[in-house]
Amino acid sequence: MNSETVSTPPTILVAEDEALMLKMLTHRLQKEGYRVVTATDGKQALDSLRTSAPDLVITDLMMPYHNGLEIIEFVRKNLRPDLPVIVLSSAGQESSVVRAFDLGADDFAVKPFSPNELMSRVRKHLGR
Amino acid sequence: MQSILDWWNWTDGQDHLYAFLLVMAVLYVLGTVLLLGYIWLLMLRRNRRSAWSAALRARLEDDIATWMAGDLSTWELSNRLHVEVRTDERARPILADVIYATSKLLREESQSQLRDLFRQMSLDQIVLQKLKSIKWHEQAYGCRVAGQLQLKEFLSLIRARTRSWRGVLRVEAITALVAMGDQSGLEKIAEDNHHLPDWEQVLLLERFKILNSHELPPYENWLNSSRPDWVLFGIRLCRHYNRFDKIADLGPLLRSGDSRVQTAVLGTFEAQGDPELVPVLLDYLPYATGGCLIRTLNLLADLMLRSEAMPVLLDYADHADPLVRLTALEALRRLGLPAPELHLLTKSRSDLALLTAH
Repeated sequence: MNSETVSTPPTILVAEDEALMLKMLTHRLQKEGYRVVTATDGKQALDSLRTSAPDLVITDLMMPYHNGLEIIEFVRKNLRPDLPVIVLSSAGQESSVVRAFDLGADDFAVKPFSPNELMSRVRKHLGR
Repeated sequence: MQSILDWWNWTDGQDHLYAFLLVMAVLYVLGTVLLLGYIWLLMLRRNRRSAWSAALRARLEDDIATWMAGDLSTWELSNRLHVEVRTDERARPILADVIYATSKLLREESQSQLRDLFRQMSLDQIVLQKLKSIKWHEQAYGCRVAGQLQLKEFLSLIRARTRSWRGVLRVEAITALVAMGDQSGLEKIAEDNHHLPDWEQVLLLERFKILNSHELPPYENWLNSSRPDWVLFGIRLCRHYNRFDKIADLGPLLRSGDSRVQTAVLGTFEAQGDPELVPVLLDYLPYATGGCLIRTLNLLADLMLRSEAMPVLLDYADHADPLVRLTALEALRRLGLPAPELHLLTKSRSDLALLTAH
């Protein structure tokens, strides 16, 4: 009997409060074949981190309830320390990006960014 | 008519006052029911309208997100948006708002495609309506959209809004002019506006932070303005944009006579901490008073060589103002003046007590 291994696609948690950006990222990531879990604020993001065991996290820095820095801190202290985290920042948030790297972020993209560029970063961190 | 007469005859036997009260009660109940019904209908209509708007917005966002992700060409997007607008004209303001919100998330090359689409669909007419509205918040929205989408045909309207007495509207209009790179309009602002309160300056600084460097306002011209508020704002921008080559030129502003301007210049000098500022500070020293004198002495102590700073500070060690005296003495101590000599310089027991307490 041939045993067929069905590989499950990697799960990516996208935490972004900007609806349009979230839709665009979800659309693009799903098209690339990833399973996408979304969160529109920090509280939802923390809940999703506990329940969905993502393989990569993409988080905005400025979000209601808990910001991106708190998300990174939570991931590093309570989840896998090697879970890749990509931070989305806006212009003028350089100090927050530096703080994000200090807390253990792996990569960042400044809005407005090219979706292709972000996808290549995602692929790199997932080792695909 | 007959029935009314019959009723009136019937009430003949009754008390007319009771009859009148009965009629009033019926009218009151009827009026209340009608009013409540009308309010309910209005709410129903409003809810239906907001549900329709939300659904339309979600559809438009889906289309635009697909376009942003690269799965829809601009031509296909344009077709889809045209269909929405043709189906219901009320979709226009919502579409204009979605395009405005989207353009903030896009890079310059994609933004220009959206701008073309915006004009092609005559959505700029909605911005015009907003800018001409009698409501200030609609005008402010019009300024934001026009600035973001580079609708330069509305520059004159936006320039006029910079003279509004509403601070928020002024901030939006100025930001729009900066976003559109309207240098001549910006240069004129300082002449037209006497005041630029601190909260507006802070708000504008926040707005400017997200602009590209080529969109910087002509803040160096504002340094020469006759309006202290604008000079102050120019200094803050100089500091914000790290224009340290300009900072030494701020020296003459120390004698402007406006304490806020003097304090801002000294704050900028403190942040820079460049020894090249020493001649500027020494020129200003004889004219400095109060808090500005204290900050100048501290700055000189930090920036000058020890041997050069000592004689300057010694001149102020017996100043009439005890705070200035203490600052000079404290600075001398920092520079390594031995305690016995420092004690000889102290003018009073209280100075000595304060100095030893530090």
